[in-house]
Amino acid sequence: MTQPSGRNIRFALALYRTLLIAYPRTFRDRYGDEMVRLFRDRCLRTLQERGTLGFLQCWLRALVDLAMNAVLEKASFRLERGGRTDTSDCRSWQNSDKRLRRGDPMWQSLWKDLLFAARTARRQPGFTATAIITIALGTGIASTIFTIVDGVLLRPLPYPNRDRLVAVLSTTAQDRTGSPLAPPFLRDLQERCRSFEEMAGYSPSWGMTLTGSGEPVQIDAAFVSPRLFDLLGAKPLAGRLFLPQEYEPGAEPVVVVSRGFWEQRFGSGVAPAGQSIVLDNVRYTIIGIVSGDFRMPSRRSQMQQRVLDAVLFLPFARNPYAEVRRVPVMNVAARLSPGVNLTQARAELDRVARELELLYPATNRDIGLTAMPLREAMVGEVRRPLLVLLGAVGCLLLIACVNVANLLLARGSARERELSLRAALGAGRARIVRQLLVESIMMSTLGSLGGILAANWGIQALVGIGFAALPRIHEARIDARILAFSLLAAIGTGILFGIVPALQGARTKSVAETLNGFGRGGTEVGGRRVRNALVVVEIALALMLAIGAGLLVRSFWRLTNVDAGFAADRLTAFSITLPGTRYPQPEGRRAFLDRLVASISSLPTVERVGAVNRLPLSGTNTAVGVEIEGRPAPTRPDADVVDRRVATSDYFATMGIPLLTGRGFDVRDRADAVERVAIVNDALARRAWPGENPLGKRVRLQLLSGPGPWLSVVGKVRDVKHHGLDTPVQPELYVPYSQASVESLFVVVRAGADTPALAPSIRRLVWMIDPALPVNNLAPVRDLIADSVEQPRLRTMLFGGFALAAVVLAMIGIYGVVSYSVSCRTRDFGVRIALGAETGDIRRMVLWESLTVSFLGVVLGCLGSLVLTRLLASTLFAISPTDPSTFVVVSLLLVAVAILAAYVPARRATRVDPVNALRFE
Amino acid sequence: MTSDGTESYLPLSAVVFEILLALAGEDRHGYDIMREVERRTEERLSLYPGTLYRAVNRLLAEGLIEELEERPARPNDDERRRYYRLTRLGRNVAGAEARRLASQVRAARARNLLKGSTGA
Repeated sequence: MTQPSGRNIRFALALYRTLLIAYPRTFRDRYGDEMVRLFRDRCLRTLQERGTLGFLQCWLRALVDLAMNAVLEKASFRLERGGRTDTSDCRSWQNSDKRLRRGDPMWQSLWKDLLFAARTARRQPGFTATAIITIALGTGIASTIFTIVDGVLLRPLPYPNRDRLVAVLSTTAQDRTGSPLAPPFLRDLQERCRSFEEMAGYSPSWGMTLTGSGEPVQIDAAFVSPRLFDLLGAKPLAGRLFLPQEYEPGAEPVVVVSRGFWEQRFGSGVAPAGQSIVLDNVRYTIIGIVSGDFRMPSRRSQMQQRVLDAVLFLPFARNPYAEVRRVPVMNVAARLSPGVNLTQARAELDRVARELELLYPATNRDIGLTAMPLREAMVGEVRRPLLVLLGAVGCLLLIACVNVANLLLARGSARERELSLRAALGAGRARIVRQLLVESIMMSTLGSLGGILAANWGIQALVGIGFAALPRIHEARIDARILAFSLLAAIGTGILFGIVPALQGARTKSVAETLNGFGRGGTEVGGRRVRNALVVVEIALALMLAIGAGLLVRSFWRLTNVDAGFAADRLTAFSITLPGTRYPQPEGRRAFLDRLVASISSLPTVERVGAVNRLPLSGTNTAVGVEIEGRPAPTRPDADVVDRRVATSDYFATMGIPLLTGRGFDVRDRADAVERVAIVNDALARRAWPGENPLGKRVRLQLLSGPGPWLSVVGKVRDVKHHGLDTPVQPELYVPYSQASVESLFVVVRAGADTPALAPSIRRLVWMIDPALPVNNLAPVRDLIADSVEQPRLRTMLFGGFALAAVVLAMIGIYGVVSYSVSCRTRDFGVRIALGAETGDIRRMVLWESLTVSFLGVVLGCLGSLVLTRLLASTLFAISPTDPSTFVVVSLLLVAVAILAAYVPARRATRVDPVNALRFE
Repeated sequence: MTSDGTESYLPLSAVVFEILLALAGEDRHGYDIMREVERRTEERLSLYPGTLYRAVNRLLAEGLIEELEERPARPNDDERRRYYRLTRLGRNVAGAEARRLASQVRAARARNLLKGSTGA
């Protein structure tokens, strides 16, 4: 019926099976399988007949049934083991607790407590349901986030000797966190470093094209150096991995594929021997399939994500930059030698970095080397946001606890008579505390079981809405660890919110006092104080979450209102790559593009067509060193860097990027023209020639092959946000496509029609010219902008959701406390009214009290926020973590909510009829 | 009332009596018992695995029902399921309970408690 039902049922079954552990072993062995089967049939039927909601209901009832019967069964089992296996005594099977009197005293009373708790819970279904749902909400959200944190941050890496795995990174004065290395350094490091017993490298491919069957597709591959598979413990599932000679340049083209790729392409039955695939027009022989769960380590960023998703593995020599010392593309992973620690390894890397600096002054000046644990390198960037999220969820859980504590407290007062009666009949203080704790733990356990189920859905939902981009998210799942966490959390919260009410309840008084109804006022004042304190805590916590959410919302709002520098409406973009193997000459590529642009332009509704090698917000970039005429050439490759773009003459007009001075590219900029030209963006003009007119100035780029030709600046265009809406604009230099041919291009189309209407025609036109070209990333440019703010959007949504839940819970808490205290003081109000108090006075009195309480909470919450919102600083855009207006507005909002919650009971207080109120006497 | 000792089992709990009733017609496995009870009571009584099997365990121990060595041949039979059958003792006890209830119903009718209900 419902889509994700299969997984949920499997999960529910596994959980049910696990929980059977509560039964005595003999019972479990005998009936366990049957019970699980029955539960499964029941679930399936309910799901079919009544959908997900019915299923949830069924699941909850089955859990309660499981728990209650486990207690009963265990109780009688203990008795039987205690030497009285008296099967003929069968009359009392419905009355097991009668037999308990003969059991082991400690357990006996605990079971009794449990039974009693269960009965109490059933007698007050409304109260029980509120408490259980509150806890389920709290633990559900907490378990969801904890599962994700666990999968991403805590779970050990799936590699052998993972404790000794490190990432080796290069650092510069600006980049302290570390970047990949240029591939040839791997050899240098392997020769010089003694701290590592194994070292290997890998890098993503930049979109290889797979052809042969069906539409050509762009596919993610990884280049791997020798020993990498050994380092990461990859095993062949079929066939073999690379032989040493296959890593050599010029070796026969061979490829190792992932299991998923293999099964998708060839089905699962066929052996790999002799199969081959065509990548970028080269035929590769498949020599093996790597085991199914093998994944490359990666960091979260556009490019690194590709390594993670790699389905094909090629020897590193196939990487075009395998021998280039200038281009840092290789991720290096290494295993520390036994007995060597990270500090020693770093010291050695420092020394080696200085040696290499002397050896290769042209490329290695001021480049340092460092190492960090591989896990840290993989998740470093997401660590802080995830921990903040976890903290937020902890807050929410606490609020839920406080709410339930308040519920229990209020009920505790109502049960005062019952408790003192029990005390009078001989129950010790400890016994009563335990009874109350057992009740609260039972409720929290039931609530958290519901929460775990909710978490299972929550994780799917979060992965669905975009958490899929987190590194290692695929390792996140609910297992024994999570169950343990949730159950511990349940028992912890049970004790936490149970202890205050329990102690309160155990405050013994004489029976006479209680039964006469005296002394009620006395405890009531104390009880009210505790409850008010809890509400203060609750408001403070809710305010902290709400302020955090408020900051994120405002930051996100500012982010989405940033001007990207171009007009994204009605723009469609796609990317194509003309492989060098089939388009070896720039002329061929230009001819292709000219034909394509002409044919797309002739489509109805299309206004303009342009092309560029790196589209803004697409996650691609090329940065190169630049030399400005009249200044000394840069000494280091990263000294004076500009982002280089190759654009067609219509690119600026198509994108809506305004030309500020000079001219755009035009027919004068032919391939064979003597003068090579460039257009700069405002940022570059300001940096290179501050206060001067850039037109006519000359620059030259430090290309891989050495310095390029001098380029004359003919125009200046407006800045665009290339790297992200929240990232400062970098200096950019555009050169005409006619004078600098590239293989990969984004084509942008401005048209009256939207993307879905255009897409089929665009694909058809591309394939009419070249049927072997994949058309990638065909999407509206608007989507690029939306994608670029995806992570902040998610964060804001989640945080906002938590804050909303927190405020609602706080509101319920305030309402509960105020209405309870009003109902307790009926007599008090009655006397006041009888003595002539106006209804307004009474209302003001009640409201004033809750206002004081919420004011205290707000002060505490603001203080807490001042300390804690700093943790959000790195995720905020253009807003200070202590932004005063956010603090004030959110605080006022919360006070308003508090007054609203108190208003209803306050009105009730004014309707007290003095005659009725005093009749109790 | 007979003196075969069945009286000592009375009164039966609602769950136990329903299970015995379900098994009185034919031999059934757990899920089947559950469905039959729901059908008969028009879903007023829903059995969940814990309650059902704890009761089954008791009934087996008391000898009111027994587990079948051979399972009845049925289409779509899941061979791992356990089937249960009412024993002679079980039949007697269920009968005794029914008689007990019937006498109560008679008494209720005599005092006009059943007025307004559908003739039962």
